[in-house]
Amino acid sequence: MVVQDKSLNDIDSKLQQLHEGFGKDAIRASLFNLLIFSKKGAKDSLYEKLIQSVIAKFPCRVIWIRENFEEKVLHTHVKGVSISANIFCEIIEIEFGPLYKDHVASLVLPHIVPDLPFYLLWTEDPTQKEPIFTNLAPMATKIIFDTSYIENLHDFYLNTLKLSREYPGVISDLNWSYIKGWRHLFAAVFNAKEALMSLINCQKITISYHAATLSEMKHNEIRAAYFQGWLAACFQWRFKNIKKEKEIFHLTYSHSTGDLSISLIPQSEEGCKALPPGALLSCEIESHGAHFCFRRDFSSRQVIFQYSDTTLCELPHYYYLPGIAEGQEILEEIFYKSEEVHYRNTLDIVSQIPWSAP
Amino acid sequence: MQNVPHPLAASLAASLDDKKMPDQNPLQEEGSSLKIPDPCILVIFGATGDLTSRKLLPALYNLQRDGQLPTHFACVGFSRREKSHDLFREEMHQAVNQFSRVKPVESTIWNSFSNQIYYHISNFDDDKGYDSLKIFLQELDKKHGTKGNRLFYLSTQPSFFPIIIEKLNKHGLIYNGATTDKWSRVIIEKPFGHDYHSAIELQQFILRYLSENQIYRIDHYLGKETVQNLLVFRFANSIFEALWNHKYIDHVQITVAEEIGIGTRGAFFEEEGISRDVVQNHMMQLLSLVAMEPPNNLKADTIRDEKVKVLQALRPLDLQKLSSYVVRGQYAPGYINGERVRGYREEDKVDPNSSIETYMAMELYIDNWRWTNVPFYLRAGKRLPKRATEIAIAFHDVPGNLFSKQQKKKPENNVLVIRIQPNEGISLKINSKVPGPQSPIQPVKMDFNYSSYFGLSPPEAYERLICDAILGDGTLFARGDEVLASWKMITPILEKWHEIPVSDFPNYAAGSWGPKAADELLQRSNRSWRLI
Repeated sequence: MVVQDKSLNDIDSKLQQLHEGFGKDAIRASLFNLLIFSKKGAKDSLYEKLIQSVIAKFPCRVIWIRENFEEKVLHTHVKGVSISANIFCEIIEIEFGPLYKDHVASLVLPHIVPDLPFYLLWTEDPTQKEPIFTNLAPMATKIIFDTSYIENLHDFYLNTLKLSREYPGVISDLNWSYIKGWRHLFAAVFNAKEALMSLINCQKITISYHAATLSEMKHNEIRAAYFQGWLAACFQWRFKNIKKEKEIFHLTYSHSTGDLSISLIPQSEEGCKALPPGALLSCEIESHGAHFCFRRDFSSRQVIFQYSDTTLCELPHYYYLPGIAEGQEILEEIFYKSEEVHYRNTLDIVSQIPWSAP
Repeated sequence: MQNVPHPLAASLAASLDDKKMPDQNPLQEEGSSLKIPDPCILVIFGATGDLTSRKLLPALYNLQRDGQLPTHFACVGFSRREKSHDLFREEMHQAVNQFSRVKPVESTIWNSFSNQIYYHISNFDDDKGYDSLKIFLQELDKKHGTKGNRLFYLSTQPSFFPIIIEKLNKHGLIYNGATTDKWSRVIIEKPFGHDYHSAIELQQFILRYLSENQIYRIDHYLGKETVQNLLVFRFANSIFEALWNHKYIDHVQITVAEEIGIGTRGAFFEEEGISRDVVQNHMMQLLSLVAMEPPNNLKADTIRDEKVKVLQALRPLDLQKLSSYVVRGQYAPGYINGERVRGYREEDKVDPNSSIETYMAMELYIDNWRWTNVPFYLRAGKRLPKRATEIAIAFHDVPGNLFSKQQKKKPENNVLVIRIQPNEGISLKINSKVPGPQSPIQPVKMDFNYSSYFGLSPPEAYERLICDAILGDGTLFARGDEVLASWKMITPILEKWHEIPVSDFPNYAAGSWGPKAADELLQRSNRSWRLI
């Protein structure tokens, strides 16, 4: 059941009416506060799906702030979402025009449930100074960005590293959590000494990713960029240069045994339409005669891994990526990662790379 | 911008310079996965039994689905019934379809997972069967990259444990972990022994072939999220630990109540009774978790050390006055949820004159500084009015009665209840003023309900336990000394009961809360059982 009510600025009384609507015995459940900032547009359906996905697993108070450039308005809506027979949670939506930017934080702050964590999902470019961000970020338990829609990634990476020192909340990116399954897979596969040495000293890595984009999306190569950056950070490969040929990024690193070339290749295949834009599709590693091949199965959450070298060709193994269905990646960031050394080190690597000028 | 030092940077740099291997995998991240499970083969003895189809294979499927099984993994069912690999896979597919916690079963996942499931035919005492098993497992090592690591799950009658372990050792299927780079572990289902002496014998027998850290004694209660939450609740919340002692706590009640009878387990229950089926294992685990001291760290043995201390501090019962502290009962015909049900002696495969107990209640004391003179009341029973497992911490009454003008009766004491199942959660009974002048004081409940906050059903106990056994983490398994300590407490009671024939069985109606004598256990100290 969704009970929807619209009112101007009177969030308190509308919450009260919402509670009465659900009945005296209903339990208002809230494990944490989730605040989302976005600009009204084509991404709305994406974030609606994300909110539903979060609430379905963990009831929380959601405050969704949307900037609407086309209107000189300040709207507030309050919705209740039934979790089960007797339990509901609240979604507070605030839509504002540019004139009301300075008002918004004061609308939000009274409605953050005290004593509970507060997660700020900031989907716009944090390098653009926003009073809402400046007011709310210092209080957030965690700040999560969505880099797919940010124009200048290089500035973002540098700014995020700086932010991680300024704000007490841990900082992350949805695209980083999207590749968690692949990171876990690599940690599991390369857990034996010989395999790890092969990877550390490899000569060539080819990463393909889903070439599709969404409206307003600025980048779909971020996950592939993060993934290769993560490997480089873990093994301290030194970045040498980058060039771009026909949408393919070619990076060169050096390590103790020589140079390594990494290619990031966008691919559009019929079978991968169901996958989100930028999803990693495959990774192949060549290392002194050894070949590691990881291929995403498009119809399921499986990655098929196969190893071969000059004397051996193993049967394929199947690895199941954790259930990071669309929208659930934020749950990974909220609940399962608090130590972000790997992310910060990855940021450090990718921030050194001139992505826009190869 | 300086790079944040990678925790392993120094080690990695040094190892790369020297072309040596780093000590730790730099790809491993802190957080959700601290340990990567090793490749291994799980061999289930008794694979055609109920436990495998209802619990073990569904657990494995869900672990696979969640990416928690090792990349290189295989499962072999071992049993004497004639069956092919494919038939066993099909049967397990049906079982997973029926019993998996998450439905529907994803066919793409099952289809590839089933290629890692096999079946081996042999009797438990057949040397040839173990020889062929060894060869088969070595072939699977090559095929699946499982590197010789073995996890043997003994899902059989306890009488088979010794012969299976002996044969596994004889045929080189289990090995001393200290001397090889592969490991072997054995998971043993309860009951571990029939009494204290048989448990010691079994323990000594097993230790001839396995070290203690290779033995994983399952008590599935320890795999429950709510039981694991006991440690978090106690030691991640400073307010409760300050009150968790005899100065503030009046008594503790631990209840394991079931509304079902013994079903088709008549033959089994006639050997065990509720004392062996529930009290010796599950209840003693709950007791030790509630009463233990804070551990220094979360290592398996550190936690288990503290649990054992509780059991070792239990005051021995005065066997001459046993009935003053222990009550046994057996259910008569009655009504459950409005339906008429049979009495225990009328159940299938039960002796019509059986003296086996289906109910047990005890008053125990822990003789240490924390729990001096705090009674622990334990009760477990079949055919009680509802299914409920809970721990109730009853605090002392307030001193005096400040509100005597509003009411003559003292305010009710505070009770903290930890609901293990069902309706998992925690509630605290406090007193509140009823709005209005001269109004009485009313107890109210502050309630935390798991499902309100954590939504979807948590992993099943067996998923967590199998995963931990593969990881080599014994925290959620009973250690040998724990099991022996609980047998040491229970066995004298069983022996005394054996001496004294029962004269009043059955002594409680199905659907009631047990024999009257259990109520009297508390009434003599002006206490009463919680109405759950």
